[in-house]
Amino acid sequence: MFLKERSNDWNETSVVEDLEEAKIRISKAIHTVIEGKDFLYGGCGKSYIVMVSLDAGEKCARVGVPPGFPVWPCGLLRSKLSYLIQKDDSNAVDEFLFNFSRESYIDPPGGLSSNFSESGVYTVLSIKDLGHSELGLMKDNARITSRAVIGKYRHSWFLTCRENTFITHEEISLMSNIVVKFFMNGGIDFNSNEISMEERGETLPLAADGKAILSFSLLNAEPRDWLFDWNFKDLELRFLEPVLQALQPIADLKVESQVLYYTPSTAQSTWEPTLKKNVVSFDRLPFFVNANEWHLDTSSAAAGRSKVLHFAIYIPPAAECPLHLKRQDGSLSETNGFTSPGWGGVVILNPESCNKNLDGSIQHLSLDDMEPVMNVILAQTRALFGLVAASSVYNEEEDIFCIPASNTAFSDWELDILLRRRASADVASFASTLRSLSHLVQSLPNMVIKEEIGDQVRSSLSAAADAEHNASSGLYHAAAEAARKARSWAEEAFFQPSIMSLLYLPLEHHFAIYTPFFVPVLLHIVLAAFKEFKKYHKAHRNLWSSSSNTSPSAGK
Amino acid sequence: MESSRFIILLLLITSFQAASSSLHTNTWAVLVCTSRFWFNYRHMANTLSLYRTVKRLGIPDNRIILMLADDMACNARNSYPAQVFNNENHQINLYGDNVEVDYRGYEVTVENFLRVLTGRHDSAVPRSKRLLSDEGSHILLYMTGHGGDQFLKFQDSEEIQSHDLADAIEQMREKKRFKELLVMVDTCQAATLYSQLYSPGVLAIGSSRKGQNSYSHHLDSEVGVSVVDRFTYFTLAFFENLDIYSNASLISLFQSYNPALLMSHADYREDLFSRPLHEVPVTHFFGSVMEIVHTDSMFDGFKGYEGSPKSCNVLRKGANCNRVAEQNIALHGNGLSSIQATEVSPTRPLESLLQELDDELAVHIGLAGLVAMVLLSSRLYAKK
Repeated sequence: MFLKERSNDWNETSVVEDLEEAKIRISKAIHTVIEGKDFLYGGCGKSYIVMVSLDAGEKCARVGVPPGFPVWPCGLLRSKLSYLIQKDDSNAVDEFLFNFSRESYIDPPGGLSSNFSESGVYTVLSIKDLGHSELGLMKDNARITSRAVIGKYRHSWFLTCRENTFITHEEISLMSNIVVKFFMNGGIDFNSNEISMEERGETLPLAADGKAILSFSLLNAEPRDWLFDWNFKDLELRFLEPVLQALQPIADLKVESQVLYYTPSTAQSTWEPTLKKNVVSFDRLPFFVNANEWHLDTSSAAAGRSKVLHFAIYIPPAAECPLHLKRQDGSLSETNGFTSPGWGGVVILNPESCNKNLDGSIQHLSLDDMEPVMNVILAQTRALFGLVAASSVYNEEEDIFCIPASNTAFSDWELDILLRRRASADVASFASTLRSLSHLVQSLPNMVIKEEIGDQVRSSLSAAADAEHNASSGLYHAAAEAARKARSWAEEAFFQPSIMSLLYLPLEHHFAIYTPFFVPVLLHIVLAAFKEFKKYHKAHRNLWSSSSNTSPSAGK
Repeated sequence: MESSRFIILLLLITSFQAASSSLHTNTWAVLVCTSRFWFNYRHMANTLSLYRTVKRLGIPDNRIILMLADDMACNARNSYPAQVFNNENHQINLYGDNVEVDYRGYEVTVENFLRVLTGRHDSAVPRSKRLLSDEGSHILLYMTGHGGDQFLKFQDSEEIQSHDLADAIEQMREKKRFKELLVMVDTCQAATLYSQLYSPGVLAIGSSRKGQNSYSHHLDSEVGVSVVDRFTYFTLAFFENLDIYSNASLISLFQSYNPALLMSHADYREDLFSRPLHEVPVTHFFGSVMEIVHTDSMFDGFKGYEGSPKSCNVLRKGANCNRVAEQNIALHGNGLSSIQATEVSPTRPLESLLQELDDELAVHIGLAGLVAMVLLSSRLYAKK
């Protein structure tokens, strides 16, 4: 995969040699950071390209740009970028940079090369500013500062102090950290060996054909206390539709919903008088989902091999209201939600007042009531897909702030990560499926293989070849689509109902089955043949002896 | 050309596979009773008792595949109709409400059993009859019935060999259909059935060794047949005191069998299993424990559709968000109403009417044609 990177916006003239040197240093830095970590699934490994360019107001210089590649137009420094940065509005800066970069894609010098796609091209901007060394931004109506900001498209920026050298060591390490940790790995540190496959992103919660069904259930634990209902169509339109559309190249997701009644939980909660809440401790959480009474797996759209992700919104009974969860360290949970990898997530929704609704009327949950719950569900969806739950969490180690993708819950660069992971996971799965299919076929030479299976294997192989070709050209979407097809065909071939392994038939069985049939018949045939042969031999011998005897026999 | 690419891909993939393992995310149980006929009541009772235990410890119905080869509860010889007992004190009715049998009667065949294990079903088979496990599943496979040296008898007409079982399990492992598998067999010479297993991650226990029989526990004089087997009886006794929170280990279960009481030796096989048995709680196979990850934070600032900045939260005190809220609702309202408009457009009833008319018209024309043909042909004949 390509990974391209540039630094921008220098406030004084510089030479191309400086740029070349910077490019070498940056490449080395990225290389060392990658070496220091484990091999990461869906990362770029060692195949990336570094491009460095300088925007110095009047002039621009670029190094390392392949021919026909669109670049950011000159004049970024003179634009209202610094004004926006001073205004501490990171969203506006992000949008501005995005629009600015799009100009080049519309009219690149020398024409757009046919293989170009936006995915896989990341930009890190280093902005030299007078006096400032930290970016200010507004979060929750409070001003915080961070060293760098990562936008929700494919660029990030940071400020550097005015110094004499062209580029400092600190800048280089910050750039390489941003590139490797965020653009390649999604912001999660993989130094530990104890991370499971799900957390590494090796398995996405999707079926073999790339589809999944998101099943939302509103659970009224005790309808005698209160009854709640929702208008799911509005919820879907407002919260889920944009997310599903953004995830379209990665997964084909469908949404279903239901409202269930009489669904108590099996986890016991205890009343904490200090907090005035009912609390479920962390070690009781694995038993929270009452699978016997919560009939969540009743999806009508789910076919035999499809994957269903359950999202349960639990409304506790009045006896347990308000119900909160505790984290592993004993502190109270802010979200009241948890996920189980591969299964889905649960969120607890406490009604506003804990008074029972004795008249039995149904209370409708409005969009505003559901907003905090849906925010948690979006975070859970991100976690289930292997990303950090909420990218707006301020990354304190690196002093980097990620702007949350407010329209689609998944930033563009996160979608790229998911595409890469999806493609690698699909190709790995395709390879192991075909390998086990070939083992099976070779171990049972008597088995009849239908022509269909051969066709499916062939299409799977050609799709995988396409995927490889597309991946090496940097066409993310095409590669992911081809990988999906490869895996889907391989699974179809493997799970063909007609290849059932034949039962084990040792030689003794053949013997034991066929001898009672054939031995009696054969015996008779052999005896008859023997008799015939004897007769013939006798007759032949008589003839022979009579012919040797010259005198013909006398009359009878 | 294609094969060479395939090889290259395979090499690439093998170099990628790190030694990471998956989390245990769910537990499945496949409970198979293979015997038919009234005098094999105890096999049915064995399977149903284990079904009850596994459900009590938390595995839900949609993760249990229950295969019963015959119907004892509604058998004509059952003097307690719709009831199945595993003890002569008749304390528990195993066949009470809430029993979900997935494969019943003649559907319990070797082919269906192997299809369940390998997942090769016809596309019409419903989800409740499939083993939908994944790479994070622990599976309990319990088989009971009449068995012998290297085989288990199904339905009195066919048998499954230990090699077939081993091959099926190997295919499951290759397709990553389980993380760990516990095979529990309650038949005569049970140890031979798992003797051919070779896939890693499999643990097996049987009720008797090669050359030994497994015996029933006691006879119920009112029902008229033996109601439970010894091995299953002592297994149930072990689980009676456990609940979903307990963490008794598998080794304590395996060592709880007394050969004098069982009248056979319950051997187990752990050479293919990676974890030491004293570290594995029984609830990993007999109960259902979900792997939980707490959601640390919610996704702030989601604007959703239309993308207009929702800068105030209507639930906060003193927020004057009415205009914004109304604007949003108006926008969504417009969105909704436009969608509804396309669905229920005024021209639609007309179109549907026309379509209906068309269909009816076709029917009428057809009928008329038919009558004409009949008349014509009868006239022809009349003329003759």
